[in-house]
Amino acid sequence: MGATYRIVVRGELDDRFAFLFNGMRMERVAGTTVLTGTVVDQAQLHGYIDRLAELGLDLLRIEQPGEVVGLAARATTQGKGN
Amino acid sequence: MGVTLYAGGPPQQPARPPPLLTTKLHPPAGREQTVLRVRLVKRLQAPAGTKLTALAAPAGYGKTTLLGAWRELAPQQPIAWLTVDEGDNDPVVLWSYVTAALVEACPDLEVRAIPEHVDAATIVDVVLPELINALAAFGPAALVLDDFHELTSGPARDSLAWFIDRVPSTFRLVIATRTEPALSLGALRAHGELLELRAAELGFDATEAAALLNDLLGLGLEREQVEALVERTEGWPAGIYLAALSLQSTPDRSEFVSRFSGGNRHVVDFLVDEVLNHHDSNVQTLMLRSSILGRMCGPLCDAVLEKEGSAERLRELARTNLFLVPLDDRGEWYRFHQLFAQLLRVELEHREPGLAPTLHRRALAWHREHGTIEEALRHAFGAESAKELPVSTGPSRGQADLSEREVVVLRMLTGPLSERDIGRELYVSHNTVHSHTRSIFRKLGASSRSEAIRKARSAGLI
Repeated sequence: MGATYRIVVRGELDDRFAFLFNGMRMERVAGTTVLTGTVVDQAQLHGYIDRLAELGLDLLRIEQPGEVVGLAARATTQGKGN
Repeated sequence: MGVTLYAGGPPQQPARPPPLLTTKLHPPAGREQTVLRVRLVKRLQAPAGTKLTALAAPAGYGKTTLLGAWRELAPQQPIAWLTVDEGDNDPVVLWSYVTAALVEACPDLEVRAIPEHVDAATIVDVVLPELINALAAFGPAALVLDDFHELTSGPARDSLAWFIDRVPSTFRLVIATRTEPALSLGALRAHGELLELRAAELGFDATEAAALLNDLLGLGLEREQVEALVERTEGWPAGIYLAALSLQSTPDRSEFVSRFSGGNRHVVDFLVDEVLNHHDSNVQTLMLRSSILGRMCGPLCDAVLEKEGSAERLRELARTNLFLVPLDDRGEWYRFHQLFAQLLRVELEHREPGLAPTLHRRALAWHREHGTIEEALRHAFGAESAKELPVSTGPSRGQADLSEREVVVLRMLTGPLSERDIGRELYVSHNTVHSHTRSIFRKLGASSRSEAIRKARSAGLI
């Protein structure tokens, strides 16, 4: 049940924010935060988007990694320098 | 809120208004520390025939503050105010509040009370046409619906869309919303009846930031430092204000500004620690633990913290922190700015993991005793399943698209209680319980109580 999603927001966020997203994995990549994890259904995904809005975070991308390989691969290889 | 306003009492004189009712009908009191944004107040003096004004921007853009200032300063017409919350998704509740707000701002408006047992169809067929006629007879008037994004149900939004289509040209509806309103803006725009203010316009420019940072807060920053803060936050007022709170007790301000502007960490992440750490531990505990509360007063915080002295701490904090918003002029009720509350909840979970459900249980006990309605519902939910989620609107894991209130009602429906009993138990009207039940049935595709319970159980909802 559910699917793996990758949510990219602008700005680097500490791991403590993961609690708002039921423990999705958080990585900080070149001035963005990449949340990766299983999303149960669309309702949960929209709940996460609302939560980003509550914090005033800018949403950059939502993707299912299997489908948008190019962006995902680039995002994880950048940003070691931070 | 689920209480039918005029039940049992003469119109305009609800026999026993719930304690928080009136706070929905006023903007938060004006504060000395806010910047008067003249350019935006002027924009709000829209040309005649502007039926809808929409302030659409994320949290922390100062929408409420701006509308509050406009209401104070520009009384070309009486301006009614309603802060929308989740309970207003019931059209009967929504229009009861709208009517109460309009009558308060326009005492001569001739409207009849909304009877207790009407359904949504009657609202559109009977109540709204009467209201529109009364507004046409009354003349210029405006209604602010703050937190319009809380209206998520079809019937409530449809009734508003119907209303906007037909209001007289002397009437202005002004909404503040974090999400794009589901109203036909295109048609209104085409007719020149729409005024939109969005994030780009609502953000602070350097002059406004300087007015806040230097004129009001006396931080004495150089022009370049102000510009650096505006650039780093992209003019986001909440971000600038968080920075200001941090700067107030930072000895080396220029070091702070360059550290802040140079980094990649998100503004809120960078600043929340800084802001909290400027307070003594009692105040920090109060801020963190009361963040689970939608609204708060001294006795409620005392109960949730199991510690006395909250009322004084709240008053003191409100003097120096704009994110604690007074809801009345007696210094009793406050709420945290939504954005700040969310940050505090993150920090609470970080510093005291797993404490939130306990805090919810205490809040629930207090609300049951003192009879405030919406919060009791929220905390009933929070106490049971806040393990992984903060108090927040929006669906949670496995809850499909049932609202928190619907889940509470659904759980109660599994027992022997009738809808009327449940209403009594939750301090809401029978009508409200019934409308939740209908909505639950619709969402689950059930046609009876037993079918709804069966489906909900097999979906793991209850």
